Amino acid sequence: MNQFVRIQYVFIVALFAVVVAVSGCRSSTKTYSPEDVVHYDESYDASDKKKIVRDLVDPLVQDTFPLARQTEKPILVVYGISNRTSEHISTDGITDDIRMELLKSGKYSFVNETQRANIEKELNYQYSGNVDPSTRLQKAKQLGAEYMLTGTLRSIEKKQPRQVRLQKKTLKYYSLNIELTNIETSLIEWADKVEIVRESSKPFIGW
Amino acid sequence: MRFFSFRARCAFLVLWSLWIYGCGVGSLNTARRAFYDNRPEKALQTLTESKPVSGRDKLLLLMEKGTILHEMGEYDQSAGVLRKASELMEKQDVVNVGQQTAALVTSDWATEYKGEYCERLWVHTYAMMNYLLLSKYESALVEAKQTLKVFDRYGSPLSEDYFTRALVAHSYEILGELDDAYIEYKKLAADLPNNRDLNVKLFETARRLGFNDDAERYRDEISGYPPEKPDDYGELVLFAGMGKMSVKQASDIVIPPSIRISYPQYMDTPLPAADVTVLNTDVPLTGISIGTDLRSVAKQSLSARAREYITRQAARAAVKETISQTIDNEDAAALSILVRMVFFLLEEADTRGWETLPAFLKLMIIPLPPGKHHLKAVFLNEHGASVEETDLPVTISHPGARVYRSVRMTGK
Repeated sequence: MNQFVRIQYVFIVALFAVVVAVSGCRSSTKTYSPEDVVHYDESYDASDKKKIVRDLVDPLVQDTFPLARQTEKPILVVYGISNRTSEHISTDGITDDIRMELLKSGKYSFVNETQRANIEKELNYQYSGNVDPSTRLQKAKQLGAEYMLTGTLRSIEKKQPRQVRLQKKTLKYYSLNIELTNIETSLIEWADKVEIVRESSKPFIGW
Repeated sequence: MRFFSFRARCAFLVLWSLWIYGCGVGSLNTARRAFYDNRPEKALQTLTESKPVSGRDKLLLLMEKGTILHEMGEYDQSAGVLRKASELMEKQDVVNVGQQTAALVTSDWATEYKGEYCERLWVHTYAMMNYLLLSKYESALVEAKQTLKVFDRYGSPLSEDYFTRALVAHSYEILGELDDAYIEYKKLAADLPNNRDLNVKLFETARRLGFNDDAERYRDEISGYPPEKPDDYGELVLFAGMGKMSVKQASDIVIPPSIRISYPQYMDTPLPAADVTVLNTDVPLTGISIGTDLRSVAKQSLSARAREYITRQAARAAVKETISQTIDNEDAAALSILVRMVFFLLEEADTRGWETLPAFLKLMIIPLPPGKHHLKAVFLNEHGASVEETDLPVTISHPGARVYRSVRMTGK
């Protein structure tokens, strides 16, 4: 290779690096339907939440499920889903959606555990002397929950071992276990789980 | 076809190299000085000004902001910033060809700062502390699991970070994941043999798990020390930071005529205090304490990266020498000297680092009865005399309650 060509190569590489450093990508937006399944990587996302909620709620609203057949709607309280994954996942979103779907089915009632402090605050205000006694609500009329809905979200992650390759693969397993406990007897009346296994690959080299 | 003359292209290369080198870390240094002058608000303001550092130092910006906010007691904001740092580290796993090419003809300053292995760990350690201080225990456990990934990935250079490892076990323990807590305590005990404080934890955890044989063994090892925590007690969990993290400095090897190899080294910084204790009306409280000399872990972490560093240096020296010799052969003597000089000066070790970290971190778990306690965290010199004191009001609301506090002596 003559000197001229070598110098050309050096300058092309240097110039290329500068162009890469200063150039940016055009921004764009795209609207999806909430029903679309969209995954960018192996991590938990909104599509997973929809699948989890759907898979867990479906058996609970079927007429074959004993609680769904009761003439008096069972009263449930949601005590949340523990996050035991290695990601910051808001599990409140899952419980909120499960509660909403069960309420929409018309087969269950829920006491609002998250609003207890506000309910007490409002009742105390009604009895503070500022509210017309004929319009204030009676205390000690709340309904007791019969069943408690709890669960745990777990994950196992496995990365491909180090070796010479251009892509790095990650396998991720999520499982959400959910339980319905009879508060009076402490028996677990129902339990189910949803699993998601996903592999994704990322390039080692980029710009 | 030649669009530019040979001299013009050389000048362009030199100017570009100087431009890359010129993007320094000025505002970071200003913020660090303000932080160690006990003006954290000023430090934060400096880092919050619009575009205070180049994109290549974004991770450093987030790390420094994270510790400054933590020391200001803004734990929620600190956790948010450190999560951004964590996301950035994830993105940085992809090798950037443009930056690597630039680094080949300039120096490592041309690349994005990715953090030493230990710094990548401490992003999660500080986030874990923040979440514990905010009583967000599930989030603390998420960070604990992230630290375990870093330990898995980088291994032995980080194994002496006993503080983080104990905090990981603690994060499992407070959420009732006792099996995992026990495993982490046992792994830690394997590296810290005959540590009576740790044996206390192992005894307590083994007993709660119903591992009676193990519990008996640990009870023998800790007989009489410290007294068992009464069941109606709560506990104070204190994170005590001391001193200033070692900073990196460049050391040089020169090979005539113009090859310079520059590599970073951590310079020792003295500890402003030898220990920290907690007093209740001048009486020292006993408990469990496990500490880490962050300076030592940082040195081991940098050493572990030495092979990678040497390879990069060798490649860069070869590229620079090839360019210089090519210019020599073009009969452009003056230009050749100029280019060699610039390359020589540019060859500066990458001494960037997370400098607002403390030199030493200590985890203290102190049993306390329910009630209000007017405690003091006292930093002691090597003779046991007080160097600095911090008031530590603590209220244990009920048996089993945990209160988290964080104190720091920067030692201006």
